[in-house]
Amino acid sequence: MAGVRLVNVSKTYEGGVSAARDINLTVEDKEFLVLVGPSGCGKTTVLRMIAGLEEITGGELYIGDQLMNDVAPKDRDIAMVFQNYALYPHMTVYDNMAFGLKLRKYSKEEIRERVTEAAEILGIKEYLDRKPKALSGGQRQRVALGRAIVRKPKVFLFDEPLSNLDAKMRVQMRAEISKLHARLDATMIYVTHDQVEGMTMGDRIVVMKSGVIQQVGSPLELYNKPANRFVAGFIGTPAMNFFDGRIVKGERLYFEEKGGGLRFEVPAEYEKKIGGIIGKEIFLGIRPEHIVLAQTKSGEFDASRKLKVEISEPMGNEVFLYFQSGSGQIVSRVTTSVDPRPGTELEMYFDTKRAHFFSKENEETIAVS
Amino acid sequence: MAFNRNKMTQPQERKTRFFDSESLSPNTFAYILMIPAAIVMFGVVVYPFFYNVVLSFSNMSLRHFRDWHLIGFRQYIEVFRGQVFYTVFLKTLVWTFVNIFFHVTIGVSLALVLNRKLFGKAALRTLLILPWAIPQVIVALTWRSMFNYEYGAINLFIARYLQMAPVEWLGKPLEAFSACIITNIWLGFPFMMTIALGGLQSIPQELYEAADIDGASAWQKFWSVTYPLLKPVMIPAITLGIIWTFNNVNIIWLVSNGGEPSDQTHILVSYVYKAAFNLYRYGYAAALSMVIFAILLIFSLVFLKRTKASEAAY
Repeated sequence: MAGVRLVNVSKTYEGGVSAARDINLTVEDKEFLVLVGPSGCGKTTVLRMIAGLEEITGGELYIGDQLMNDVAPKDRDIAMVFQNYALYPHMTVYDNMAFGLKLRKYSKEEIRERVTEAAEILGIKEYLDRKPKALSGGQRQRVALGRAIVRKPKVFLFDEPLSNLDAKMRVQMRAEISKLHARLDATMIYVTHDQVEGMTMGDRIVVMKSGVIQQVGSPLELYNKPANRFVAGFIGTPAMNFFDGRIVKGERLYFEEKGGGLRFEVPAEYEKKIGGIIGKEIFLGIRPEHIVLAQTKSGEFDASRKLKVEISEPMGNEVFLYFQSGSGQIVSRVTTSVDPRPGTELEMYFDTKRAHFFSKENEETIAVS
Repeated sequence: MAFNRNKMTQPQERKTRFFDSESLSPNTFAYILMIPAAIVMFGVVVYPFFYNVVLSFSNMSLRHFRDWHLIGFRQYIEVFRGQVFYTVFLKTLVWTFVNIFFHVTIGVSLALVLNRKLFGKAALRTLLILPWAIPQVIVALTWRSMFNYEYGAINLFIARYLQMAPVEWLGKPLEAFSACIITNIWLGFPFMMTIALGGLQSIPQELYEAADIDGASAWQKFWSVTYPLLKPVMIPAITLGIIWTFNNVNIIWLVSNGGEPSDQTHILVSYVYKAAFNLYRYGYAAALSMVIFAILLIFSLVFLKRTKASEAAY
């Protein structure tokens, strides 16, 4: 087993398009690291550079202590699971899993032993004689996992392995991959655009945007202390609410939404941190679960507002309520079983103690709770 | 319910129409639409085929053109009794095999080259498909003049650049047959190349990447990814190619000028053509063409079945 280290790694395509810039990242041995970001953010490029399928145009890549920049994929001791499974369609499940071992000249007994063991772990033993086209999507992805497991590589790489599965199968496979990680005790690097996968599976998450790492941290760190507005908006569903406005000084400090919308008192604990930006434009962020019905919560100062419900989405255990404000739509996540008609006025409490303040210039976090 | 309303509100108009498609069952209407095509197919395929079957059991020839009658299997016996059939059949097999072998190897090799990133790929691809776009007659006559002993480009090339004696391409049996084969190879590889290129482009790139990580060399990738996935695409194309080449009368006839020298360059179809339209032995030619038909039919059925060509790969 081994860790992976990227030092100032960059990828620039011919014609100057930059897919990844100055990636500095250390993946610890036996860690489950998730790379997330919207499409085109460079997360797959980073993974493919680690795999050796994409040339590194700048910086250094180490697997263990060995510099891997110019090492062929087959000699990097990695295994990769692809989004479209990439199973050889003319080979049986057994041969698919055995192919890499055969090429590496393992003995027949050893191959059989390893394939059978992997098939048992993944519950695909009865399909070993079948061709991939006779399998469902979930089974195919298990075979692809099996092909990776049998090699016992130092590092497992996953490129959006669950994207082609239906929602139910995705949840199931998510748990299975996590279990597999615990069982194999291997270093795994997992790329996904689905932040829920990242939150549920990763020891640590790397959020990327436009080829640049935005933040690296544990799931809760990213959720509670996002480094900038992008991370705050990307992690969590429904996404965080952002209010466009400025800090003004009256008796105390206030946040005033643009166009005369909402106006909040800034809680005392923030005053020191944001005292220096009075008058400047900022974004205020509040997560949906921190905007609740006023009767369920009350603070020491007035942060309740009457708002008209636009849409209400009952989810069963909770309800998403959508309102209109000066700078956009507000989403609230309410756990009680209300189901108001559109147009109903509700008094909503904004838990400003849990608010996030972001600079408007560079969107960096100024202050969090 | 559109039918009913139409009938109720427009009863007058319905009577005056030639026929009303709505009053027919959907199937009947479909059959009516098919009639013109069926008539044409009957006229150019079904009728000639059965007429040919009848002729093959007859003594029709220039001498018995109007007074022909059925003579049973005599023409078939004549076909199988003559030595010519076997030598020509052998030549046909050589002709077909050599042609297809080069069509496929040249076609697939070029497709592999064209499937890579390559400067001027579009221009090159157009250039390579060109032989296919030129009418066969023009190709055959052009190559025939290129094979000319004294003035042909090929002999000029051989003499000037290879410093070798010129070859009597069209005057000797083996050389003339080779000339026909060379012409047909030039003519036939673009088809295989186009099909192979389509097949190659449909192989997902991920499979090669998976093979890279599995540790396959370029050669191993070809044999364990490209070859098995190209096969289902190529088998039907090869079957077609074999049938077309087996039946290709144009090139043999035009390049060798009707089987010259002294009927030594015939394949079965050119021999049939000669029997029917130069020697006017209609009954004999019909019997021989039935034999060719049977050979190709059996070949196609066996070949397609054994190679499982109709099975989808993915």
